[in-house]
Order: sequence, then C-alpha cells, then structure tokens
Amino acid sequence: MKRRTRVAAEIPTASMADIAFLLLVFFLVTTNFMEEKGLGLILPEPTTDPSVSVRIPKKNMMYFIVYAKNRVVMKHQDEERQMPVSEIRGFVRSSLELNENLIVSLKPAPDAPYEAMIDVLDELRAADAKRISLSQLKPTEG
Amino acid sequence: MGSFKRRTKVDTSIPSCSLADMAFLLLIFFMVTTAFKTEEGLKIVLPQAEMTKKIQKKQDIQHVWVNRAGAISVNDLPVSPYQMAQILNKRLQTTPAMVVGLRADSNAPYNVVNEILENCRIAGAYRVQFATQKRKQ
Repeated sequence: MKRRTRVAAEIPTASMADIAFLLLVFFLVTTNFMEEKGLGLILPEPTTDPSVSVRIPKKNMMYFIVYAKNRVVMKHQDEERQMPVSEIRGFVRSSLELNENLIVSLKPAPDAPYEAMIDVLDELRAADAKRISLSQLKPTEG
Repeated sequence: MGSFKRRTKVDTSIPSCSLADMAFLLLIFFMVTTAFKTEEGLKIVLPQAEMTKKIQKKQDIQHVWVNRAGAISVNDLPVSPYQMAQILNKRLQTTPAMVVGLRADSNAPYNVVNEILENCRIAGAYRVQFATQKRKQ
C-alpha cells in the first residue's frame, strides 16, 4: 500500500483583509445618497380677515408674469414688456437699488410649466430680491 | 571580550491576522448606519437652478412628489391636494420643524403646484423647498 501524502487543508487567510476592504470600498462607492437641495421659500400664513390686507403703492410692485419657458412679461407701473429670463437678474437688481421697498410678484399662468417658474425664481434669488410674492395668474389678469 | 550580552531579537511585524476582522467590522458598521431612501416617489426630472442650496436637517423633510401629468404622491400614496394637507398636518404635530420638499417634474403644470402651495398654507406648513438640481455654468 502506498502512503498518501498529506495535503494541508487550510484556507488562506492572508487575502481576507483585501477582500473585505474591496467590499467596503465597493459599497462606499455605489451608495448614492438622496440629495436634499433646492430653493427654499416661506409661505405667508393664510389670512381670513380681509381688513388685514395692506395697500401697497403701485410703484413698489413689480410683476413677472410667466406664460411659458422663456416667455415672461414684466409689468411695473406703466411699463409692460416681454423680457428674456437672462435679463431679469440685472433688471431686478438695478430696480432694487433705485427702490429698496420693491416687492417682486411672480405670477405664473396655470398652464405654465413648473420649470418656467423655477427659472424666474432662481433669477430673483440671484438678484437678492428678499420680498417675493408667488401667486397664480388669475384669468382676469391675463 | 565575549562578555557582551546578545540582544534578544524583537519581532517587528504588524499582526495582520485581525485586519480582516477590522475591515468586516467597518463594512458592517457602514451597512447598518446607511439610511436608505424609504420611498419610491414618482418618476420626475427636476428643474435646474443656479441658486440651489443644500438643506441641513434631512429628517424633517416631508416629500411631496408631482409628476409630469400633475399626479401627487406623498409617502408613496397617490393623494389629492386635500388629502396631502391632512398628511402634512398630521406630520406637523410630531415634527414642528417640518419642511415640505416639493419634488415636482420640470414640466408639471403650475396650477397643480399652486394648489399644493395653497394646501400647505391651510395645513400650516409654511416652510417649503422646491427641489432643484444645481445648474452648472
């Protein structure tokens, strides 16, 4: 009878750490976190008392009526004209320098895409406009 | 001359047999502490904005999803604006610092967004955030 050679029955553990680190790195890289980014806004409290409403002089109001993407009409006092979105920032900024009590009112049409409103809101934010009102365009105003 | 003592040799290798345990421990730690997103939401394309800011307190966010067609979803349930207001109001009782994270599709019609904002006001949720993606210059 031949003698059988003994084979060492061991699992090599030297590379175990490498495997574990590889898994660790893999999970670290592939985990995608949900990003919470956006434009913040604080809504006004609903008022039930009509006497609370304040009268604002016309010269302190500036309206931006959003009909569609890149179709924005600016209304201020007697001026009314279409304005490219890229011009809004500079225009609002210079208007705010002239009149710091200016309230910018953003009025998107009911069928306007959400993105069109965000574009203008973004520009207003970039222009440092602090007093922004956001309300849907009423059918009588169109 | 042979009176010097021989120095004992010190083993200078770093013990590597516990390295695997450490790595697995880290792996398990990260696996346990990672908070996965709990809701599926709706399929949307977020609008882009330059002034996009990060929000700090993630746990206080209540998502409201609006897709292209104007359908609203809260906690993976299709809801009407009125039902949404009730859900928001209930959540406000437990987390007063709640922020509504409005995740609406770029092409969602504005009247749906307007209705949501009105109902947020009714529910008393005044802090709203329009989720956007950072626009690259």
